[in-house]
Amino acid sequence: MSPRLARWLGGLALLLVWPLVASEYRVFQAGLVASTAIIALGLIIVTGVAGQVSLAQAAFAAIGAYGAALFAVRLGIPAWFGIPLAAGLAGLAGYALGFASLRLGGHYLALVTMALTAIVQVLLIHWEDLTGGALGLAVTPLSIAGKELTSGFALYYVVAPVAWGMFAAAANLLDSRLGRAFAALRQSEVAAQTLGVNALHYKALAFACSAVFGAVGGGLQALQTTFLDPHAFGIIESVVLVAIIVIGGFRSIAGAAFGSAAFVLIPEMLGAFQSYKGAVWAVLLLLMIVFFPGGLAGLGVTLARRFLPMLTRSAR
Amino acid sequence: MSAIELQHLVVRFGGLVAVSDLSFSVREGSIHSLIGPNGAGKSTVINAITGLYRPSNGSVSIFGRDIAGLRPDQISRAGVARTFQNTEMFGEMTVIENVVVGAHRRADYGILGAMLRLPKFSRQESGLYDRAAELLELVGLGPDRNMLASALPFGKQRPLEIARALASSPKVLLLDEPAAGLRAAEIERLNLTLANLRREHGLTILLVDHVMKVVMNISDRITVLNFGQKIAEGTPEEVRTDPEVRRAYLGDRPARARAS
Amino acid sequence: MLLPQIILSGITAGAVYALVALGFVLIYKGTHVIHFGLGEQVALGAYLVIILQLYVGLAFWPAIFLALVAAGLIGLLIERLVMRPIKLQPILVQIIATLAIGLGIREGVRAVMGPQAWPFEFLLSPVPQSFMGLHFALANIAIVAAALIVMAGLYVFFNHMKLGRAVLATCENPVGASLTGMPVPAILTSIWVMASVLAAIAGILLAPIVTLSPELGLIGIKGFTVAVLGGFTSLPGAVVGGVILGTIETAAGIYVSTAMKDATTYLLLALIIIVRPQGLFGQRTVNKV
Repeated sequence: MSPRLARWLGGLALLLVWPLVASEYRVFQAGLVASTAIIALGLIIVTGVAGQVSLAQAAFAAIGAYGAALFAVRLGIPAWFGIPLAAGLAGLAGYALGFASLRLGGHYLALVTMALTAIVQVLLIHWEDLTGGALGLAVTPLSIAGKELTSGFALYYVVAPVAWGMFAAAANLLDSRLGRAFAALRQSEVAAQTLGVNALHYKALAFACSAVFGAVGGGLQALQTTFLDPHAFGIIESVVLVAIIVIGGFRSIAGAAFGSAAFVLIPEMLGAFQSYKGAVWAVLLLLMIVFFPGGLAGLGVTLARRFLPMLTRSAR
Repeated sequence: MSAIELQHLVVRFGGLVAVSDLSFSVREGSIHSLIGPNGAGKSTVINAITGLYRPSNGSVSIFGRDIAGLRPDQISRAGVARTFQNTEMFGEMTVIENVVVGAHRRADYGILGAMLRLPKFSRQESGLYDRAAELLELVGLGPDRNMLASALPFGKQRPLEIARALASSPKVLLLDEPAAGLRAAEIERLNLTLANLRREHGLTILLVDHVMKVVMNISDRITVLNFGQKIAEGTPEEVRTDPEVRRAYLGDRPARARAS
Repeated sequence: MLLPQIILSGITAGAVYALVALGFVLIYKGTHVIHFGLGEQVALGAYLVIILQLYVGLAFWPAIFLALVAAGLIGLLIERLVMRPIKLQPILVQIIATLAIGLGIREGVRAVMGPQAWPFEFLLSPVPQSFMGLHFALANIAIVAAALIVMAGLYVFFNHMKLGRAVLATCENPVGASLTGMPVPAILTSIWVMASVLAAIAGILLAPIVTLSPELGLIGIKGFTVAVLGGFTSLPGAVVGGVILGTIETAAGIYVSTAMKDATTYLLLALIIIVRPQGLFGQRTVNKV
């Protein structure tokens, strides 16, 4: 067994064992970190590695969340199949959108992805027959052999292994010719093209990946929150997700984990000043941009390298 | 059939004509240089051949296949590779990774193969790295393989670009000012590398540069441009003694655009 | 509703959008940055007035004056503390920075003033007047007038005043500009100050009509759409774009549904960018390698 594989399996073992010594609340929180991290991971691929700004991640999470929930409620398809199905649809949409708009750079791309998120949210709020509208949608819980999985523990043992799998897949993707193509496009699109990389196709592919990851994360998080509110899938949420990866460190997949952990834990640390959590988050983001472009992952990379080398395999 | 054939190539930017009515051909397996004073349009020609600029008129053929108007990655697939005047390295990747990106099309495993580490991936991936290592040896960068590309001294950035371009197994190699900024020893090395590429690998090379130590030494034929037009063509000896060329470079009359 | 009435309502709505768009265009012309947080600065303008009234006890008009000063100061701080340090970083980072500024302002406002809606006084009478069968309010006239005045002012500034031309030159070529003795950093700062004051004015005009809540910042998207429609570098384009969007939106609101009003904007934005990114009056640029 290669040392790399051993490290990843070791990580999985750790993930599966630690809840046994933790409280239900902490385990539930960790589950939320895991599902957020999956969504953030998609953004790392498209924005951090491939360099394409995307404010559509909340929309893709919405497609996964609402898609899977509606499949369950309307068509009786359980989330085991519903989430991958919704993710596949999201991926196709992501590729199509990417193809249409990734010729544009920077600002225009930000605007188009912003518009997409806004349009999706408007649909969610106003297409009441389908989505329950502004009043929201209840999410059918997952069940195995007739037993519903609703406790923090049960949901953790669904979400965490999936998160592990998706991080492994992402790491593998980034350490392959496709991941290299993404990174090459960001660092010198011109050179990458002259080496045979079809820029539009690969950018669209990165976008599709972000959509798939976003939808899977969204679908899983829907199971955890048990109720979908369309107001939680707007432009602001997309911006918050960008903040998560920037604060976490947006060039490496570790950033998705660090950022999500910070996002879930910081409000708690604020205690009585809960209502300031949004402002604190924004200030943290600005500090990171100005002073620590490498994010938490950059700051912690020396420590992590010593104890958890697998997590800091950086996007190259 | 020539390796590269330009027929009446015109490249316009809005109202500015950068290259007008340029025709020349490059024999397979030869080294052909494009020279001329600054602003003569040499880099524009390279950019037009590799698809970064769209030719306004005329044709560009690679081994008989017209590639004008194709995307750069399609042109790469037709067997064309290039280096850049301002090095366009992938600064955040290591030296060897840069070259491996060059070999992008030498593998064809897809996204699932990559994510799931299917057998096809393992088979092809190590091949990419092995080839990259060989190419680095060829240009003398073997010991630097794990260095971050942005940390490379300038004199090594050019050979890296050449190694990277070669990784795509091209039939035609376009070099945009490969000798610019190189010291004497590095220029010697460049000459040797180019001669080697032609002799051992049968590569056709089109070279744009100002450094006569390379151009006169290594070229089989030279085309001279001025103001986007061809003013002379021939062997190094012929070009060196051509009065038009002398005039263009030394300007004993005020330089102005003229038909040749 | 009669077509003329639709157009009139459209012009009023469009004028507000145009004011916001002018702010975007100003910053873009001056610094080549699209400030994604400008919408939030619009909301902030109105909030500042309320804060000054509530916590400092000022009367309405003094509060407005001081709010504009505060808005300008905030613009200065933004430029100095955030935008200047990251000027040389890739566009991606600058985009994220402006998003962060927007997020920060929005969340800050929410933390201090709460998520609920605040009532806001009209500057001029909001009572609809009747004239030749058309209904409009003086307040609306004020908005349209403000938009036109600002546009005319900016136009004159950039095209006919030495300082304005200096600003444009600085944007095109900062090194050249500083070599010829222009105070480049001061010029950039003043751009941000101007745009921030402009945004605050837009907010103060807009707040009485629309509910003042942290969500008001989302008007930024309408501002973008208008700016893109006009071609991001064209000031008259922003005004024309504003009228067009305002009219289309009003018509959509009447003939389709009120829900579709917003959706129309987003669709329009996506369409223009994909089909004709330079908008109506902008220019396409070619990049030399």
